[in-house]
Amino acid sequence: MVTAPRVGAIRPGLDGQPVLLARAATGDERAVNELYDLYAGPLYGFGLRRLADPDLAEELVQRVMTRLWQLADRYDGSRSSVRTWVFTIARTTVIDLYRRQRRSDAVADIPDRAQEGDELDALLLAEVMRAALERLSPQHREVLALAYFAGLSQVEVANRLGLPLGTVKSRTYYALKALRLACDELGVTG
Amino acid sequence: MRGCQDARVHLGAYVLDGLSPAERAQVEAHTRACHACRSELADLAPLPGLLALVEEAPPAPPPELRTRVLAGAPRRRLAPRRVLALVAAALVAGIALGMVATALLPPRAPEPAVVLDLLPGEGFQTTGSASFTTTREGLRVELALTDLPPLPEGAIYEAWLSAPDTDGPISMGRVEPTPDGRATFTWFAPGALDEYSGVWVTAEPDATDPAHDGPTVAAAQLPGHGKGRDD
Repeated sequence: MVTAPRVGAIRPGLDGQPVLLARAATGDERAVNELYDLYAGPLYGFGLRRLADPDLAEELVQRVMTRLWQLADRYDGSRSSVRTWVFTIARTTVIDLYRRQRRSDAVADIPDRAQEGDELDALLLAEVMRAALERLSPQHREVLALAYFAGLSQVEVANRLGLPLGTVKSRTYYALKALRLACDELGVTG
Repeated sequence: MRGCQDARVHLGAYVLDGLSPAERAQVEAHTRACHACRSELADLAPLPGLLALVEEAPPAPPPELRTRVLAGAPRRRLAPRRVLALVAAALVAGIALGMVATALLPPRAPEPAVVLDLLPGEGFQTTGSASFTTTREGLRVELALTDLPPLPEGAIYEAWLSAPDTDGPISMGRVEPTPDGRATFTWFAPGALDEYSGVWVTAEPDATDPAHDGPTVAAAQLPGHGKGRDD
């Protein structure tokens, strides 16, 4: 079988991030949006899992992103990647929010770092895959929704869509080809 | 299943496990015998695993969160006069360093560009130019390179900037040459030219490693020495 893809292999994600951060801190609107696209989803997911509360997860995203622009000057590229730095801020923010939620000194049940690293990789990669799916045509997304996410066979997809089986097969094939291309463009290897 | 074309259109359904057992067996028989279809299959095979990450991930944040978060983002605060002053300082510094600095003032573009020669690194014949233009998006860095030799599998060309005020080089990303060894590259950097001390391109042996460790292919010195800030 194929080896698991790594988020470290996402070059556009890691490459220009220190510059992206610096540009965001000077008020570059496009850089601000790009940083949001990269991190809001993974941070929200991280928050939902730790805090089990959508409102607090939103507050986590808001606080961490705000800290990012405030602290951009202090980011030291020789010490950590932007990604590690973002999740270091996220971790302390989660603990703050968790304490407030419980109104006690309790500390959130944080798994060990190695395990958490895998979890963050998966969250970041899931975000890139969401972006890759966004790039597909509605027809391609629809056929993947049925053939992958709903787990239907090709015959079932053909019945559902009222299309000839051959059309469904070739549409499934071209949808995956388009997804492969989008993944390649977004730097997902594997 | 007759031939590659027929087999190909079944590959998508095959990796998503949507075929009948008989069709499955036919795809497997074909890909065992056909190298091209096997390689196509290998391209598509990781996709279900990647889609599973989306399936297992927690839900995406509500769309309106973006508006709220971005409302707190910093606003651009570089005044036009300061931009002009920095460009002027950069021009003077460039000329003072004896570099091949050319100020271009095209009739319709308000900002002058600074153009420097990129000189080959040891063992390379790569040459080219690096052009810097102050724009509303930031400092536009444009590289034009010739004589980039082909690289071994997995290696890439990568462009970098250095600034005295930051630790370590700043990666501008991947430079993709054409088959005849030419490349053009554009990047927007924060700040002004006089905040940077060098621009160069390396041949990075491992595309998946974000560190700077490849040999320098071509480089130019920039005017910044860390004392460019005068406010």
